[in-house]
Amino acid sequence: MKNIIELKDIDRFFMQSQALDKVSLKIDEGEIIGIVGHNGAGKSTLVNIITGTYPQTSGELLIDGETCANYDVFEANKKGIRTVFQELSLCPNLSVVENLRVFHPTISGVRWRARAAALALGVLDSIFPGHGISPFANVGDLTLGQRQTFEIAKAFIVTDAPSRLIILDEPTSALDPKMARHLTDYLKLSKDPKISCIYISHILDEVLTCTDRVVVMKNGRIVSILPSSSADKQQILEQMGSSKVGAKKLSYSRVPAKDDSTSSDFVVKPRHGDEAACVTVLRGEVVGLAGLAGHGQTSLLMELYDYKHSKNYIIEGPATFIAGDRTNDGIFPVWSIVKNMTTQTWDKIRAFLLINPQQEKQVAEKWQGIINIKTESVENNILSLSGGNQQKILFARCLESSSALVLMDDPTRGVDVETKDEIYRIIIEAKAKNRSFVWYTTEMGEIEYCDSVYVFKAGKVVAKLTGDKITEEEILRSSF
Amino acid sequence: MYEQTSIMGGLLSLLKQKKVWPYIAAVVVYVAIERVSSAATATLAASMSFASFFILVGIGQMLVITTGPGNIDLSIPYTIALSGLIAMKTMNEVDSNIFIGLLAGIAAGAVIGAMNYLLIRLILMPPMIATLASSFIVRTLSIVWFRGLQIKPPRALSALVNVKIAGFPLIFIFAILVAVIMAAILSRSRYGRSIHAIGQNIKAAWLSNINVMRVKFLTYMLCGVFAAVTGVLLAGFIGGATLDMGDEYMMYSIAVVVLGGSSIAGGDSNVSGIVGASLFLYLVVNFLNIMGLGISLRNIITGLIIIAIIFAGGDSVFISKKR
Repeated sequence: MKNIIELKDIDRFFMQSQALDKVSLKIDEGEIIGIVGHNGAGKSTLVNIITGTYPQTSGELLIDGETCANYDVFEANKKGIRTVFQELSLCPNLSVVENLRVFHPTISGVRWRARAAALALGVLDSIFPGHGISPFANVGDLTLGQRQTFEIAKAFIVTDAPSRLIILDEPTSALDPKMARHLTDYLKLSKDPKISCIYISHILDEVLTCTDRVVVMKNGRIVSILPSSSADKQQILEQMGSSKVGAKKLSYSRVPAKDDSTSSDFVVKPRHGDEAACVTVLRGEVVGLAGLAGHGQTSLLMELYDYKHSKNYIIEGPATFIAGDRTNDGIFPVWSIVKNMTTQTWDKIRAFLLINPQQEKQVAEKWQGIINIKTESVENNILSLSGGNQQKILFARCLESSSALVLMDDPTRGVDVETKDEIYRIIIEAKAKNRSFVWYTTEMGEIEYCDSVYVFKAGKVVAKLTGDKITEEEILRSSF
Repeated sequence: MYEQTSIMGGLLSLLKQKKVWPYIAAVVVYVAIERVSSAATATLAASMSFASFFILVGIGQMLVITTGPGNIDLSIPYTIALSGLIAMKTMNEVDSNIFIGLLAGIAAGAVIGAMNYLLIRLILMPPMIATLASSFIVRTLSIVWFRGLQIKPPRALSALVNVKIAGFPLIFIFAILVAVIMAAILSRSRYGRSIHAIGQNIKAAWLSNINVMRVKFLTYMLCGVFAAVTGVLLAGFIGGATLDMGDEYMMYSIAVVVLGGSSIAGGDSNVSGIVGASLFLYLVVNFLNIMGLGISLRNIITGLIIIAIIFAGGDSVFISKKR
């Protein structure tokens, strides 16, 4: 059987951090490859290189046995590589057929709508019987599940553009179990035998039922490639987790798990006493939120932040919030480092009604010493700093506030190792001063610094781990 | 030698600041006026008086614009008119009523500002549409209540706004004082920092425990108040409140903000630039007057000058720093 795409020793770096490490993979015509791995294992980077979103740092990408010069998204499209994105890419203000025409401009001429409708319905009916989508409905009026089914069907609709490799990235995240079943059945039993697929999902059973081979990734490497029919779920889970966490660089002792009924110094406690499905935070405790991305961790942080309107919790507010998505949720781009640092400190540095610039600068210089910010002057613009240093400014901002509770939304996202260690040190020091932290992390190593960890699945807490039970294996077991 | 270079360097760094340009332009226009007119000093004094109104209105508009992309108050002209009319009606040409009349005018401005923000917030209208819609209501109220009559100010008010101290109009001194106070508030108060934070990154501002709603509400209200004060002073200055006395402030309130170096995308304000831009714009109007140009040509040239200046300072004004 001839392979349609081949990756040879692909490396990909983002600044100093390596996202892909010598990845080699061949995909045969008609084959369905599953890719599994934890957040940050390199799945998305691999997909982005195949789709031409960005180039590899080194290594070779062969399509039909030929190297492609100037490979990019358009080239990939021409070669028949299509992607079904997790984030839906349809235009909500256009109808189903109009959306179809956007991607297949050759559907044109008189009565194009009728032909587009026939094409769409043909594929939709064959993959998702009982989908209930009218081809003339506005996409914005469809349910999320219906939009996802159309998004998937769109990739399988063939006009004159070829469709040879379809990448499905978490295709069933918005589908109900019945529709998800239709998709896996279709892939396994009745898809065009010439079309290859890459199937990425966190739902392991699904991957094993509908793929031919499954690729397990960890830390940017392919750990193993197994035939799906004989792969063992337990074995894959073990391979996905990091073998053993290396020597800890920072000493950290966990707060011993207290009996919740005896200790009463809560910073966050459930409003209705529903302990099982809720999070509690004690003074001076670091609480981790784990589980797969987008399973309700950020919503919980938002509920805790908006403490006056929280339905489920009694919170000692206001809390302070450290964003992981610096650019969107944290940085004030026009301002200097000083001004960015003091946004939650205005009341402390005011003389009468006006902020005292000297005092403000002192605060900034104090933190410059504590957290080692690499800059000539704290009066420089915040954007003159590297991303990691910007993140440290956000930590300084929040820790300078007097809030008892610090909420962290994956705060070490895209931060280099050195800065990460510094951030952990900052957290440990602040914890010693009786700050409480709620820490959503997608990085398994960081659970080492948590006193208790709540695992999330489908918007709910499914497990609470404390003490020695806080291990990667336990978290993975609860997440899947 | 060394001293010379440091002076040159200082000048250069000064020139790099956008707020300096309107002042330079103002001086250039003034020199031009001196060339063609024998009464240049009188022209300057008159320009200062009218520039005062630009300054007050411009500061209000700047507060609104600073709260971020899309925020703008287009109801300023009719707020000026309605507040002026209400104030003059309340004063009823009686000197002892001036204070209460001023309060009535300010209250009207505050109510209009509050209404603007409520439309924006509750009905989620874009500020441009919301403030235009409310300005129609305000204008119609003015027509219904005052039937297009000119309402005269009390004698003492007219006298007060025309007072000159050492050659400077009192209202210009007042406007400068307000500008200085506002500059301090903007750069060093909780409120001032808040509007800048909101204008740069509204989500980050919310996540920094800034009460975004309250700050924006206050801002639209303040803008209404600035317009109202302008309406009262203007009515005193030109000898009566009329329906259309605020009309030209629609364009000028925005022009002085942009020429003054504030970012139209929000988050970056500049009070002193507004003072320079206001002086410059009114000097231009006067210069073209002296040259004997008709109103249409005058407007076209003013428009071209604004375009030219914004184009020259393009990098700081048009390119939003928020990506």
